[in-house]
Amino acid sequence: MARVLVVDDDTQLTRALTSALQREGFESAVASDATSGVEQLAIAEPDVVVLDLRLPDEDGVDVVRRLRTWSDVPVLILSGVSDQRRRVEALDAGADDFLQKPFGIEELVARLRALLRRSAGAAEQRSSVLTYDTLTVDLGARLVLVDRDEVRLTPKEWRLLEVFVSHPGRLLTHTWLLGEVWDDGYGDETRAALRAHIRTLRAKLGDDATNPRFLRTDSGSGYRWIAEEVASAGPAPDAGAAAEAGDADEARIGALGTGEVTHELNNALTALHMAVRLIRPETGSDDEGPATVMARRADEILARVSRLAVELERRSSS
Amino acid sequence: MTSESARPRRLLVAEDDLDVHVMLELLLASAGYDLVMTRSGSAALSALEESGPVDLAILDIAMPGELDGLAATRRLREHPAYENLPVLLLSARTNEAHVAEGLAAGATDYLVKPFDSDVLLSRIRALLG
Repeated sequence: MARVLVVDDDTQLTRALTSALQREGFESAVASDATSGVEQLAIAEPDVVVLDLRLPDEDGVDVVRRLRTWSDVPVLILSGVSDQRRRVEALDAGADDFLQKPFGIEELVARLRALLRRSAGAAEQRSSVLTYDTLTVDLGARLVLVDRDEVRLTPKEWRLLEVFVSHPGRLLTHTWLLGEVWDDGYGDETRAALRAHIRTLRAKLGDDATNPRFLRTDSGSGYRWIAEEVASAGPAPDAGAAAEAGDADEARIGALGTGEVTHELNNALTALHMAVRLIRPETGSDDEGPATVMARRADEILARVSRLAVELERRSSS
Repeated sequence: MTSESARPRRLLVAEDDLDVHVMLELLLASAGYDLVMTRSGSAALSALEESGPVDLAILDIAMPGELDGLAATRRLREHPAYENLPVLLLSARTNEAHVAEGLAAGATDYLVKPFDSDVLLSRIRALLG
């Protein structure tokens, strides 16, 4: 859940804002002046700040200037009709967006979400250099180093590598990759081309298909990026990669609205239903083993969670 | 079942969520279907032209791009070759208005996510006749 710090001395406004933000799935904190606002910013570490330009103890522009010396939290300025010039000053001082009072809560929420998405994107950009054993991939500079030597990739090989490292530990099927790299190209010829590009990519990365360090072929299904980033620690490559993916996903999910969260939850549950069905042992024998019993129990639990998800979806869309 | 047919029945699938896409592909392939997998409405329509006839289309409603599942269904229904193609829509939207909208767009059936895999497989069998 994304955290919003509202710094404004208008108690009527902050009360209304707090309950509206809560309804929209945000967690919020309130400060009524600049001093307590800056204090809360340091303690509560919000994901985004809503700051009134006119505060009782300090000018909003000065607050922005001050906090920009140590924080890059996104700041949305609330200003009056007559504050046009000072709005520009606030943006120059490092504020990210502004909204003129009176405003609609829907617009405020949409702007906060946009700021959160931008800030998640910027954080991703900052950590775009990935290092695995002998391999370094700089997503921002589109640069690949193997044993510190630059390796030149074709555009298709680069796109494949980018897709693989962006989905660490996850199975990517042939058709999914074709969609990502060939714009949903269809046909045997494109599938053969995919295999050929993966072969040359592996050769350039110094990876061995029979004993892979980076890219594993899941026979008949697709491919999986199994390498673990050097900076991260974990007991096994798959677990480490999955944890990395979870961290990156957390920031993205924080910027989603309640409806989008329930949509993703439903998709994840749908996929899980199918995964359990696929690993369930074939029935037919009278002697039910523990795996069959556990699979049936998993089905029952999934059915329960699904009913809860459907209820959440109903509430969020009503 | 598909094993009784002269050829495996061919399904066109459009789903943009990575996990659901992958699991649909694995589940439906393990059930013996021949698959044309895509990730958007427009990709589904172009794949249909390239792949030749299919026996059923399974389309997610909420997909990115110009054509979501509803718009893709309407396009299919405008085309004489596909006006009778069974279309199963998948959606996380549960209220009756959404189901009615899907059926009005020309869908033959509508399945709400998250669905039970056995229910999906039996709906597919029923739609294939």
